[in-house]
Amino acid sequence: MNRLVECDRTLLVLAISLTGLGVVMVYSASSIMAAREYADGLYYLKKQALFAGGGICAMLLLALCDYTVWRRVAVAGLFLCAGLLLLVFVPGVGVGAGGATRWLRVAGFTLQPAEFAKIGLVLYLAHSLAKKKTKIRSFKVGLIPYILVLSGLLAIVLKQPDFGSAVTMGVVACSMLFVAGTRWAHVISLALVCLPFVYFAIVNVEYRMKRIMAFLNPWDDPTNSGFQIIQSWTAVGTGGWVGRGLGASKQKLFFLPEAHTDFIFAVLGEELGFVGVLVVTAMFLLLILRGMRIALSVQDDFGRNLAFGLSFLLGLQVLVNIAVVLGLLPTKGLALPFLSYGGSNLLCTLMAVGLLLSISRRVQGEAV
Amino acid sequence: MGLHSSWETVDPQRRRRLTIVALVALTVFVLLLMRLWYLQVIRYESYRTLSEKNRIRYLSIIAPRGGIFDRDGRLLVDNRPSFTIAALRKELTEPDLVLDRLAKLSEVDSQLLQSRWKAGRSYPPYRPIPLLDDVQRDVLDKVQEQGLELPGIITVTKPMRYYPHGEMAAHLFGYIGEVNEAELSAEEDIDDYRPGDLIGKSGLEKLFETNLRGVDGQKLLEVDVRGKELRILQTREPLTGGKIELTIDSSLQQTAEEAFGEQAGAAVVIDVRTGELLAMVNRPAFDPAQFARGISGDEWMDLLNNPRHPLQIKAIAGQYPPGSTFKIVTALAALKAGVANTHTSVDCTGSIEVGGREFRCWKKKGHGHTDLKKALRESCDVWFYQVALEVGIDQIAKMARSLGLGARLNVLLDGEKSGLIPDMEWKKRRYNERWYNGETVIASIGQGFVLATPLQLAVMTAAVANGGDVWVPRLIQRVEDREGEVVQEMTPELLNHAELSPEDLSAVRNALVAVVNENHGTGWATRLKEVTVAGKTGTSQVIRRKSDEEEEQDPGDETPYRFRDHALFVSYAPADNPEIAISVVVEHGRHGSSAAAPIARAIYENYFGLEKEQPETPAEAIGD
Repeated sequence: MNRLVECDRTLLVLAISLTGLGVVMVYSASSIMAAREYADGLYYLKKQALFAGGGICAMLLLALCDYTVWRRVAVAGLFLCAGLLLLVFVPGVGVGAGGATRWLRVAGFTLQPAEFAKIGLVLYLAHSLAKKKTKIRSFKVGLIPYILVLSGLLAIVLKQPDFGSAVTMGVVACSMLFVAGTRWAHVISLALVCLPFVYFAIVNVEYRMKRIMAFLNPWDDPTNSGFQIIQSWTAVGTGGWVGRGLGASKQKLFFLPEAHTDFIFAVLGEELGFVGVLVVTAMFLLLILRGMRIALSVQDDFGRNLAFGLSFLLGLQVLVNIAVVLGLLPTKGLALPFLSYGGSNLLCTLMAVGLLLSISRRVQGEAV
Repeated sequence: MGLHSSWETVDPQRRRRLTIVALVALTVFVLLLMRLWYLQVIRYESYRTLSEKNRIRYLSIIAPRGGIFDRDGRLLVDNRPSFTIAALRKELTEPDLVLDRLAKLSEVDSQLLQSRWKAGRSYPPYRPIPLLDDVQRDVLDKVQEQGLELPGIITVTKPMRYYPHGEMAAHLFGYIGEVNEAELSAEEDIDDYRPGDLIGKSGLEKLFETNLRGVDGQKLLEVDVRGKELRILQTREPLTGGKIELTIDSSLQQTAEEAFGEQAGAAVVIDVRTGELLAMVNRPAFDPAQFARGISGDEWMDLLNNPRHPLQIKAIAGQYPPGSTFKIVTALAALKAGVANTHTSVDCTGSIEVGGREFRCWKKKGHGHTDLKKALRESCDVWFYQVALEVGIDQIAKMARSLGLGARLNVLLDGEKSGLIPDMEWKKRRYNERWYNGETVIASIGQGFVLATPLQLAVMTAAVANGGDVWVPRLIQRVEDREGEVVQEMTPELLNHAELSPEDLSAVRNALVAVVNENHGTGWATRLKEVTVAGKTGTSQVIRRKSDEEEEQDPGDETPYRFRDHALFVSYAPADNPEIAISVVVEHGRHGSSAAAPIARAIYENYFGLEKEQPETPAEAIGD
């Protein structure tokens, strides 16, 4: 257990607290719906608790291992992720819902390979950027390979279609390249190359266009496309300073769709109020800052890139999800790390923290 | 080791860039907090009010579907207002109690209400769950009077499909129904459909779904605690769906349907100059209003089990042996191949022998010396047997196909069948057997393997009338979008042009005129004083299975209905300058002359605006 003591304990405590809060919130947000749909109010609570337990074990395991071993499997891992992403298109293995095929059925559970692919991508980039060192300033070595890898991966994710994950992966990759020292011109041109794809992905798909329109003016269509965001505002807005109290949300009863998944932050806002939300966001902020601190402190390039990438990935998902709930970004279908119901997301979030903890051991170790 | 010491060791560029990322992230963070402050602290009161004090009720205003019009702008499919009693999920807090009360008031089984209430679970939260559709005035009044006893129950007005002409042309329109699970998960296009929405399930309603469907409106109401409406906060009017205009002439269609009486079958009226369909009759029909108000299980089973298949679009999906109407094709093939001319004479003794088998003419005692004209006029089978043996099946098949038989004609309706025109290669492929001469003999009079739809027969007849143009049969004239802009205007489209020499054509046409207008002609029943009709009758044998024959031993002369021959009649008019062609198939109508031709006659009388007259009885009753 000595090894655990060497970890960044603040980070560990934050992760476990947020996971615990997530289980409570999922129960609060889902119990009535679960009672109606499954005749078991604890349905989602049980599943989420199971994932939380498994996730925390995975996190501790990763924290105890030396993170540098993952470097050796970084490239293979990326291919594995791509393979899993492709597997969802295989009938019988892949599971579709609501017009998208994003899930795999494994031993009674559904897994979302895109979540794992995010970590796989960060791992690969951390390794590759560390290997190339200053060569990443060159166009041929520092940019072209990443464009190829990224466009291949994003194409599969967009095919599912999972627009939110694709954008997340693109932004994380760009920021990692940016921080690692890629030329400004290269980063900007990479972003420019992506733009037309984003444009077509939105304009060509009616429902995405509708979401954008609904985001711009939800009151135009309050019973259909604008419904979710208006309900989300109402939920957050009725929270006030201190909220209605844990479990007392009214919006979750069924006015707020996805109350226990993508919009769980709205339930949080309604039940815990501005003060509660402030505490939770502060916890997120602190968690990400600890991650960044690890990225700055560790001496090895791979560890530095990895810590930055993972912290950025977590931070980005938190910011985007809250922004969606508050109506500042169009609906994307992105989960809130730790809090949203969903096994793959929780597992991956905790695994990311596990890796961060493992890197932090090296920092602390060096300090001795 | 503190953060500072390690910060120093990071290279300056990386430090700069990290600072940029961190600043951007922090800015976003601060923005989010400001937004939260705005929503939760500044706007708190208004959201609290929105959520509690006065309740807001969102209601969709269901948009009427676009109308379907005939070629002269007469409305064929309309909408009428109907009343639905529905439950609001948000406000129906005691479903068992309230549904029981409602069941007593409206005198329906409370189980029914319960099951519909449960079925509405998949609906979006604000969509009222319909409990009773198309409610009559008296029930509606009772429910409205008792409003306070029924919290969560509302009445909504919905447009419902209305058919001013009853069953007329029901098959063309098809029907609509609630969108089902399979349709919802079918494809992404369907993204804006939600459970409870209506969608075209068949016919034009299905094919032109995107045009006909309107855009629902919305009403935002403020209601008090008891659910009483206080005021309307916001309304967005619904947009009626786009209309479509058919090429159908509703008066002609009506006449044709009435002319069928109780008989089953199909008729197609086509403009030989453009391919426009002026009427398409399918009998018996179903009542589309049954579907509009929601068909019951029993009604549905009745339609499905009806031996005369009211749901089938017989005009395009019914495949019948064309019988003697096919002799037009055989004659043209023989003329084109040079095997026969107008003077070719055959001595009909009542039968011929081919390959050791006897093939009989319908007239046992024979027609005696018979030329092309007489052969068509009196429908002598032996003439065609003889000629066909010389022409060969492949030439006959080629002619049939060039006239539009044996393949789909691309009419804009689902379920069109291709019919069947056999040839040697087909037989080889299908049965791996060679073609026998005896099969050519029976194919020449439209029996055996040969099959055609009433639509194909009309198109074929039109091609003979107009000099060889095979038109794509057209049902749609114009399609408009919701704003009334014309989005589709259909123009005549040629499918094929059959190469027919003027001499061959006039030889056949003269004979077809004789069929109707000369003594001994089989088509006497369509003879009109003012307009010359040209046509050909047909009778096609219904194949009897052996076992059936044994079961249905009929002692008397009366053949059971389902084994009676089909009656056919194809024709066009005016003979010298053709405008329309008609095909009529009367299932189990026995003789083309007596069952099918009078229907064509009624259609011509209507088209040319003639007085109804009693057809003169022929000198001798003629079979076919």
